[in-house]
Amino acid sequence: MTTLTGAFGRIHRMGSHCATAVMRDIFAFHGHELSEDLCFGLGSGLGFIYVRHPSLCIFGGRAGGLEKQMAQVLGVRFAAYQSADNEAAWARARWLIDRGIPVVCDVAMINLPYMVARLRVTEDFQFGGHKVILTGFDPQREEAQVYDYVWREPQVVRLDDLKRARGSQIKPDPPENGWFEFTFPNRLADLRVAVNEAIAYNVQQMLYPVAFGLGLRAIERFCKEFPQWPSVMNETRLRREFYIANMSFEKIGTGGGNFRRIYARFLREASRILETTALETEVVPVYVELTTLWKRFSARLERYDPAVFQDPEVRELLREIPARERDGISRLRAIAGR
Amino acid sequence: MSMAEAILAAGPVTGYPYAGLMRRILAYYDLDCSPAICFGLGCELDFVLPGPDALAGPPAPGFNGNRFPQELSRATGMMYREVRSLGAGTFVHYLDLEWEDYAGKMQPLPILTHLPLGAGLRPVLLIDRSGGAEYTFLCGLTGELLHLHAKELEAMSLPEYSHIIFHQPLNIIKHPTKYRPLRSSVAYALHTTVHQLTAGIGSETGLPAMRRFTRLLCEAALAPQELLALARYYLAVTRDNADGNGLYRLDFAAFLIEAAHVLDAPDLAEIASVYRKLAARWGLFLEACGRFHTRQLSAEAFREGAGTVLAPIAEAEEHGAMLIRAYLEKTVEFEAS
Repeated sequence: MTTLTGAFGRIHRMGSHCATAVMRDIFAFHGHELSEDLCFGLGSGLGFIYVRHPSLCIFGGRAGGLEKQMAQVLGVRFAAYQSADNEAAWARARWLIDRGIPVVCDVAMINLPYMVARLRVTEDFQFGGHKVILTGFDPQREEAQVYDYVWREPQVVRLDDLKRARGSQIKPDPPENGWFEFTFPNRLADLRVAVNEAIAYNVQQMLYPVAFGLGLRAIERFCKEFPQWPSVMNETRLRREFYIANMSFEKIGTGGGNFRRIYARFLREASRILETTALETEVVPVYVELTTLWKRFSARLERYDPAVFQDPEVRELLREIPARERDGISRLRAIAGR
Repeated sequence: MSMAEAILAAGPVTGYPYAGLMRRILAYYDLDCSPAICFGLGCELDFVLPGPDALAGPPAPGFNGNRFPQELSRATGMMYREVRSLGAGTFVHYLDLEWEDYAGKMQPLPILTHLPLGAGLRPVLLIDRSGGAEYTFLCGLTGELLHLHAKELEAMSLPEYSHIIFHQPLNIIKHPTKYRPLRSSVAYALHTTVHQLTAGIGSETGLPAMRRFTRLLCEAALAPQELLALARYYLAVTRDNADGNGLYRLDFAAFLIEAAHVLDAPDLAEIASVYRKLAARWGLFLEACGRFHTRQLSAEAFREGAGTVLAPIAEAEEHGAMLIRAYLEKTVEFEAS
């Protein structure tokens, strides 16, 4: 049996979101203690995605590439690997573990029995970008140990299940056996520079996103389209989209309020790091308010009810959310996102 | 005009290979960027002392591999998406998926990758694919067009592959400021460059690597074959010191001159002279590498000569980084407006 599990267990912390918890753990493993909230902000994680395909919608309140962006801004070399070959990917993971290197892996949640049981994930939630850290394996018992953000203790997974979770072909977002490799410099970049840059980049991506379904415009479009869903979706589909939206905006690994709570906490830390009170006094309240607004909206999606589409409170939320989101970005841009 | 035609119409590929290709991508996305600014924003100023594994593989021009396009993307507001894969079959599979995804549905996107061509690994841009199995690449080193069949790609045996897509900021409504403001990008690039040079990774990159290399030379701790491999490595990564660039210090000096205008910082223009002198010194080192490579110098003569040249270079590099850092620390950046 090859394992870093014991050593890793001493630094692992549970978290609010898989990617940020994983990054926190990896950086701690390399001797750098950064809070999960700081990881989120350094990764320019504030975002939004809304794409309505003919048969399904994609939702989320987080920007992509968080791990890469966080590594980059701190001067850590980062490489994201994928492989269509399950065995080649597993061979590489074993090679890394044998060298004392924990492996961040992309997995499909639906294929991890421990996750399905705990979070009651159903087949409708087809997400292949969940992150776990592989820290050990036992070829005799055909088991692997992974750390997952919701659990304090390592989870033991059958090797077959792990390979299936890594190589799952779910759509639209298969994991492709993805894994990350990091190379740390002798010291990290200046945190003030990193935080300022991360905010500036986040502002840029929200204002001028690189794809149609991203950023502030996507929030505005979502809030405008939501009341019209019954005219383009049947009830079966509406029930499924309610479930997925509720999970994506609140229930599964968002830290509450569609990631806005985590971002508010990051901004508090950023305020101290940048030694400016303006972030704390002028921007944090916006994201605290947005946390509440998104929570209230998500609560209305918990159980499908067609009355939601006409509900005045929901309509008010759909007006208020995009306005406050745009306000938050404007304030960020004025203070730290130049 | 097709994407291939637009990219080729941007003129010959010149200068630092990654910069030459990335400027074409930026031009295709309607962003003009001078060669000097392009180089600087890519944060390429560095030094590497490669280990045996790196020396065994095909060398690529420049030090930081895919870091250059990654940093440049961030600086301009593009989104950089790189995928590394193991195995030629997987690489071609992903290349095809990316090409079909964008060429078929939206605007074709050029794809940056690396191919083993000649003596080394070369950055190339995939700009066309026809008949499903014929690929057209633009070589970042020579500016030549390469037409390769899928079978030729699959026959190339590399330990790993990568391909990179760059997504530009959306252009639904043309917006002149859709790219990131140059001022903040230039300042950040300077911070990043100073950090990577001074911090280093182990004793493999940056100033720690320079000091270690100097020590190894002075202590005669490297065997002649190791010295020769290193000499060849430095010649390969600098294309035999093309344009007298002196490990790209001349390019960096040009960047500092332009950065001085962007940031309204005359200090930076003065610091550029440090890097021009460094370029000349590195040029002497590379000249010695060349003479050793062609057996005009013995291993012992190379070791002694390189050791003599490197120690003051390392000091001058540290001095240059310190000057830039002093300027950056003087600059008020984080106050609330």
